[in-house]
Amino acid sequence: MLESINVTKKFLNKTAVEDVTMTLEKGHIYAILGPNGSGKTTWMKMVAGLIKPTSGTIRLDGKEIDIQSRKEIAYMSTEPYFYDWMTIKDVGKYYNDFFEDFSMERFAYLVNEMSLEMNLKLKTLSSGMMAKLKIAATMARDAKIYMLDEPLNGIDLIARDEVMKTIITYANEDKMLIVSSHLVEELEMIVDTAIFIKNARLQGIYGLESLRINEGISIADKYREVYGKC
Amino acid sequence: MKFNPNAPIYLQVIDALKLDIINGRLSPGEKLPSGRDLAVRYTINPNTAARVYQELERQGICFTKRGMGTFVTNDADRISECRNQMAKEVLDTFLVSMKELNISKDKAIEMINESDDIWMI
Amino acid sequence: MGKLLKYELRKSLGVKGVVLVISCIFELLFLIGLYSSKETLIPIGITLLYFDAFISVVVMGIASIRLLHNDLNTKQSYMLFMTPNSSYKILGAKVIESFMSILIAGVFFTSLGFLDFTLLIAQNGGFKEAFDFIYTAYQKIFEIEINPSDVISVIALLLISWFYFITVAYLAQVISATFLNGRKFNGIISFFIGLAIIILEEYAVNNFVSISATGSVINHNILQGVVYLTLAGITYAVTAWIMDNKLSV
Repeated sequence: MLESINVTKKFLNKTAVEDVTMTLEKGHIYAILGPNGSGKTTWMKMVAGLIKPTSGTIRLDGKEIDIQSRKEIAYMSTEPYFYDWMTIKDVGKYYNDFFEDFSMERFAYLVNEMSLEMNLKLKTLSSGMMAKLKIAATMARDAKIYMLDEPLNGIDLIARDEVMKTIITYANEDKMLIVSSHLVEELEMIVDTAIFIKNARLQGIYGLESLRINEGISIADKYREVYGKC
Repeated sequence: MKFNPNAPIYLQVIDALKLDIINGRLSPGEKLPSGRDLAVRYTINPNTAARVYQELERQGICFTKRGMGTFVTNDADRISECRNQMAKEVLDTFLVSMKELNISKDKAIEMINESDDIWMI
Repeated sequence: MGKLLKYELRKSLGVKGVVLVISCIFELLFLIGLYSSKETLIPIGITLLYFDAFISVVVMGIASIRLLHNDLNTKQSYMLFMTPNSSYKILGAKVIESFMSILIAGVFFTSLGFLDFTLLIAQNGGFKEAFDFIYTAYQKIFEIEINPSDVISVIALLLISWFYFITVAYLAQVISATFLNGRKFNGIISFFIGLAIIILEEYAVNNFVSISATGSVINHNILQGVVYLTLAGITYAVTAWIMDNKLSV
């Protein structure tokens, strides 16, 4: 269980996240949605223990987030972050060196599944290949929470399908996945709950099926409704 | 599969599976994909996939053998009943649409008789 | 910690490789001059090696400061900060790597110097006489005794003070990436903060050492070295504390 209690993050001249309170449960895939700059990434970085909240607390299974939480939370940033001297295999070794829950076998399987090769140099990868590699490295961990920041950004249709397939494959009742995107439609099918962030605040949390059952609309429709008028 | 954005996804997947069963693409007693494989196949959330099987089981169209997986029912009556039910739903929609177009029942029957016979193709 | 250190070494490998290759070329020039008829290569080789030794240590230090800058301010920062390691460990690995690199470079160039000097004397008797003449003259003019251990202590002190400079530069980098992050001229401001720290501490150290140190050059150098190492340790602790509390990756 992940609790975000009155979490606020202020930077020099702007409030990136303001008073976000919500509780997320394992066994779900959450979409965290909102336009660029709405505070999705900042909130996720706080959960990942990369940034400290200005005020408020974040707890994983009752324990406040700290450096040790990074053992249980796998965070993937939007931009490529690997060292440019690395090969795909080096990336696996790096994760293997630092994360006890990382499985080299699973990584090798995913790399193969995504039609990448271990000896490829990162400098030669296209943006789609890089996006797939980031997913492979992150999902080869056996973490409690996976947070993927814009995993579908700037990649082609085939790579997108492979990424989605990997996400679905490793989601189970013991895991929590939080996937951010500003491309709502693409994510809609694979999530069960959508968290809307608007102007640094939590706007609302919507169940995929309950929206369809109760209001007869999709998450994308709701998104248009919420963000269309600003 | 292309989903209708206004209807629950689990219902849409259920209909797709029922159609496969009625058409014999899935035979009675055949093992269905695991919840995860179903999720991957339709690119849907695994919880949605689980709900699909729960619902199909509740309707008696599938059954689960502990540790073995989910299977299509062997009950041929239940399958044909399902066919009738789905046909009824399609027919109802059709009739409502015809009524909205101000076409009488007799005219509709006439039109059906005159239409291209896709059953022959 | 060992693994962090491994990757710090890997990241600095490029610069070290270049330093090694250049040094080898200069050494080769010297050796060719020594064992062939092209004697003009001897002074060229010696001069180049002499400057190479200084510049290499400086360049390696600057490269490590630059690396920290990238590890704090670019997307690359996730690589370090997504791992379950505290800032104390992450920075610690960098400090240890820097210290080891400086130490190894110091030992390497000093040994190379002594080796080349020995080779030169063995090959060329006239050079020994010339050197002895300069050495005695020097001793008479300045009235001090120069012995190898003094020379080594001076080199060691130079290296340690450079190491201390690097830790202050780390602190300046971290200040730039935390308190000054997003402000105008943060690079320049943090540079001057670093400079101010060094000047102030240098002033304090010199006063302290000249009061406390007694007698020989070695005693003086050892005391100063210990003071620099202590300051480096304190700077490290302060820097890591700031990173732990104020850094936004």
